[in-house]
Amino acid sequence: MQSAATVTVSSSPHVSTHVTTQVIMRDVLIALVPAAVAGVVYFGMNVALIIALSVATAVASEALIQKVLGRPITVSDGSAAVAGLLFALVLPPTVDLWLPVIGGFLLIFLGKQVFGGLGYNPFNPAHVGRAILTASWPVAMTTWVWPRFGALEAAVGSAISGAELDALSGATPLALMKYHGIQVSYKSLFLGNVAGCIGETCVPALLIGAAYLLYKGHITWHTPLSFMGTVAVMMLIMGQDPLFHLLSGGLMIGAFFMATDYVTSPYTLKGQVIFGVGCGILTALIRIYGGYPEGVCYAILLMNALTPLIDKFTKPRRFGEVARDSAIRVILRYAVVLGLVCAISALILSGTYDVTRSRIEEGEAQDFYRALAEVLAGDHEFTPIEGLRGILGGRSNTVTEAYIASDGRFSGLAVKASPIGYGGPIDMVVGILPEGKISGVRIVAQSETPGLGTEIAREAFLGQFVGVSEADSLRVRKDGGSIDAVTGATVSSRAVATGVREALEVFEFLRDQGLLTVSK
Amino acid sequence: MGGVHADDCKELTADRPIRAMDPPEQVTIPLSQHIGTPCAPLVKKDDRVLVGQIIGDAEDRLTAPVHSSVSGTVLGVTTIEAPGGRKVQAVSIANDGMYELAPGLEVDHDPLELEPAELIRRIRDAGIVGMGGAAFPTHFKLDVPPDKQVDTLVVNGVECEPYLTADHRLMLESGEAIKQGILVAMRALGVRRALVGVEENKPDAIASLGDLLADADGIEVVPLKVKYPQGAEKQLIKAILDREVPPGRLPMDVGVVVINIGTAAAIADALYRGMPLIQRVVTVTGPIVREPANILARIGTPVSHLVESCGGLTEDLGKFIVGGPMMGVAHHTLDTPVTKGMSGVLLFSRSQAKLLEPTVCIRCGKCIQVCPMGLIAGGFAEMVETGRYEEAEQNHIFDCIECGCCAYICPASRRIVQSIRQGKNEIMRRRSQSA
Repeated sequence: MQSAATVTVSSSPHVSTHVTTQVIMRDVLIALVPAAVAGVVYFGMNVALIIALSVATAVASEALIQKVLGRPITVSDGSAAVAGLLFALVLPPTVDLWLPVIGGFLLIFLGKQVFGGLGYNPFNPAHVGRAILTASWPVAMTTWVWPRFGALEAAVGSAISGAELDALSGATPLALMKYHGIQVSYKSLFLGNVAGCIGETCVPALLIGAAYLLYKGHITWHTPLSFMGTVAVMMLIMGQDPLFHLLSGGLMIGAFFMATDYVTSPYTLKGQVIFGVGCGILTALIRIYGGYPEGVCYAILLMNALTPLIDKFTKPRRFGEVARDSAIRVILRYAVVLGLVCAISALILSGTYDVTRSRIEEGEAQDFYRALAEVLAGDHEFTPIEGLRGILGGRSNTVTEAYIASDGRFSGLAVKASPIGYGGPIDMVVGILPEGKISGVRIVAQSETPGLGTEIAREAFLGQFVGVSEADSLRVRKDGGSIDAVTGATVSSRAVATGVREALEVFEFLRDQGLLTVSK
Repeated sequence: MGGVHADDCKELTADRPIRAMDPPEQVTIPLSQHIGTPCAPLVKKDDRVLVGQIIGDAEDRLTAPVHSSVSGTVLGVTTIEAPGGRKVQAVSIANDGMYELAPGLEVDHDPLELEPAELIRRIRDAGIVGMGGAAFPTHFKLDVPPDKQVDTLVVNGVECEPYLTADHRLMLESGEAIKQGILVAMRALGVRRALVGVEENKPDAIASLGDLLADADGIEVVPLKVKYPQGAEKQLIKAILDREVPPGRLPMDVGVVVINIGTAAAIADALYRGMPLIQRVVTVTGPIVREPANILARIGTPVSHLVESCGGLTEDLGKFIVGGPMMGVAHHTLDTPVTKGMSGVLLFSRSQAKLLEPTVCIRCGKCIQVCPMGLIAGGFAEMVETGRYEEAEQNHIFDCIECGCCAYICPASRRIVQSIRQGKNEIMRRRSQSA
C-alpha cells in the first residue's frame, strides 16, 4: 500500500484544537478593534497615527532585537502587535508622535525581550511601556483632552460655570472626582465621551471585545469579574460610588485585556480569582489614597510580580490525594494568602507614597520659600496671616495663604495663589509692595502642557505683571486686560492672571481692613 | 476536574451496524496482545490448527492465552513489530476457509451456578483481556486478593475517544451478551452492584441497555457528562461513584473493579457459547476512509484487509493510528494485525497528519486546567527538556495517564505527552541502572 517513509509516526495525541498562540493573538487584536475605532472617533485621526506607530514600532523592534540576538524571529505569532496595540490604547490621545515610537520599542525591549521574549516576561509589556513613559515624561503622559462634541459640559451638566469649564478641560473623570469632587454623568462615562486614554473610555466598545474573547474561550470570567467586583466592593466600603469607578479610567480595559494576559497571570482559575481580587484591592486603594487618580496599571504590575507566589499557593490538587485540610481550613488559607498579598502591596504602596510625598513636600516647601524671597527683594521676615480664609470670607477662590513681610516695619505682602490651569492647579507666589504695586510673580508648581504651557513660568510672561497696581487690568487682552497671553496657552495665561489679580485684590482688602501692620 | 471537549467525529460510523467481512487468507496472531508475560508458542510450522485452539500460553498469573482465529496450517512463528515499536512473536496461519472448530471451552453448566474460582479460570482459558485498549488480563482483575473488599463492578461503556464507535454499536446490538457478561463478572467478584457508565452523547445505547437491564437486580446504567477522558478508569470511578483512587493504587483499593463493555460481551461469548476471544469489533474510520465501518474482525487479520473491506482510502495515507486520536498509537504499516485490544483504527491524510510546529510556552495554564490528574502537565515538558528528572518525579510525573488533554489544548503545540513519556522512560532507566 504505502511506503513507510510517507507515513507520520508520532506520539499521541494526534489531534489538537488548532487554537494556536497566533490564533489567540489574532483574536485579541480583533477584540481590540472596537476600542481603537472608538478612540479615533472621539479623539481624532491623530490617534489612528499613534496606534499605527505604536504597533509598527513594537513589531519592528521585536524582529530587530531577535535578529540582533540571533533568536528565531517570531513576530508572526502576533504577540508584539498585541502589546503595541494595547500600549497605544492606554496612551493619552494628546501625545506627540515620537512617544508611541519610543514606547513601542521600550515595551518590547525592556518589557519582553530582556527576559527572553514571549512567555518569559514577568510583567505585562504594554503596562511596562506605560509605566516607563509615565516616569520619564510625566506631563505628556498625563495630559488629557475631552473628546469633541462639547463633551465636558454634557458630562458635568450645570455643576460648574463656564470659566471653570475651561480650566477643567484637561482633567479626567477620576481627576475631577478626586481633586474637585465633580462627578461626570454615567451616560458620558459609559459612552466614553470623556477625557482619558485612547482606548479606555468607551465601555460598549470594550465590552464587545471582551464578549468576543469570552465567546472564543480565550479568557474566562474569573479574572475580570473578580477584579471589577472587588473594585466595586472596595468602593462601597470606602463610601465611594462603585458604578462611577467601574465605568471610569482604565478598569475595563485593564480587567478584560491586561489582567487576563496569559504570560503574566496565574495558571489556575483559582489563582486567577486571587489575582483579580488583588488587582481590585490595589486599584481601589491607589485611586482613593494614592498619589494618582488612577491605579489600574500599577495594580496589575504589582500583581504580575506576585503571580509566581500565587501559582505556588494554588497548585491544583493531585487526583486521588486525600485533602489534608478541611474545606474551611483551605478557604482560611486562601484568605490569609490574599490578605498577606494585599497587606504587603498596600505597605509597599503607602510606603512609596509616603516617601515620595514627604520628599515632594520638602522640595515644594523649599521652592516656596525661595519664591517668597524672590518676589520681594531685600531682607524680610515673613509672618503668615492666620485664619486668612475666615478673614477673606470667600472673596477669593485662588488665594490660599498670605505672608506679611517686615524689615522692621511693614515692607510688603507675599500671597500664595493656586488658580486652576490647563493641567490642574498652578501654584504661584505674588509679591506686593506696601504701596500696592506688584513686585514679582513666581510659579512654584504647575502641570501645564510642556512647551507652550510652561512658557507661563518664564520672565517674559511674568515680567508683565511687575509694577502694575490696578487690579482690573490684570487680565489677558482677550478679556479686556493688559496682559499678553502666551501664544497657544490662553487657558494657562488666564489662570496666572487670575491668580495675580486676586492676590492684589486680597492685598487691597487686607489693607482696607487695616490688617497690614507689623506688630512690634 | 480537568478534561476537554474534543470534536468527537463519531458520526462517521455511529450509525453503521457491526458487519462481518471476508476473512483473510492468512492471519498473523501476536503472542503478546496483553499486559503481562508474553505467551510461548504451542504450535510449530506446518501444524494444523482449528478455530479456538490455544496456540500460545505462558506459566504466569499475569498473562492470557492466545487462540487461533481460523482453521488452517501454521506457516511459522515470526517476529513482528507491534504498534509502539515493541518486537513480539506472532504465529502466522494460512486460512483454509473451513472454520473447523476446536473442541472449545466447557459450556456444561449455567455459568451463574459456577464457583467464582471456576469462572475466573474459564475467563483466563478464553484468553480474555480488557478490550477497551489497555488489554489487561481480565481474570487477574476479577481475582481480588482476600484482603481487598470490592463492592461494585463498574462497566465502562463511555468510549470517550473521538471517532471510535465499536463499544457504542456493541451496546446497541449485543446488549444481551453484555448483560450476561456483567452478571458473570459480578458473580466472579461476589458483588451485588454493577454500574454501567455511558456518556450522554449515546442516548440510544443508554435507552436500550436500560431496558435490557431493567429486570437485573443491582445493575444500573449511569448516564455521564460528555467529557474526555471520562472513560479513563480513575476518572470513571470518580464520576460514577465519587471515589478517588489514590496515586499509585488500584481501583480495588476503593472497592471497585472496572471492565469494558466489550470485555463483558467477550466473557458471555466464552462462558455461554464456548467461544474464546478470537474476534472483536474494530471501528475502521478516519476522514480518508471511503466507507468507514464497524467490523467484526478475526484476531490476526491485517489492518490493510479491513481498510480494503471499507473501500480503501480516498487520499494517500498520512498517518495510521491504532486506537483513537487522543491516546492511540501511530504505526508505520497497515500490515499490522488486529489484536484483542484494538478498538479502532484511524486513518489520516497527509495534511491531517501534519504536526504543528512547537512554539514557546506562553504560560496560559490551559494544560494545568485540563489535566484530569491535577498535574502541572506543561511543567513536566519543561523539566524533561532541561533534564530536571528529579523535579518531574517530585511533581508526580508517574501519575500522568497520558490522556493527551494537555497537548491537545496547548496553543504552543508543545509535545507535552511525548516529553512526559520520555521523562518516565528516562527515570525508569536510571532506576534500573542504580538498582
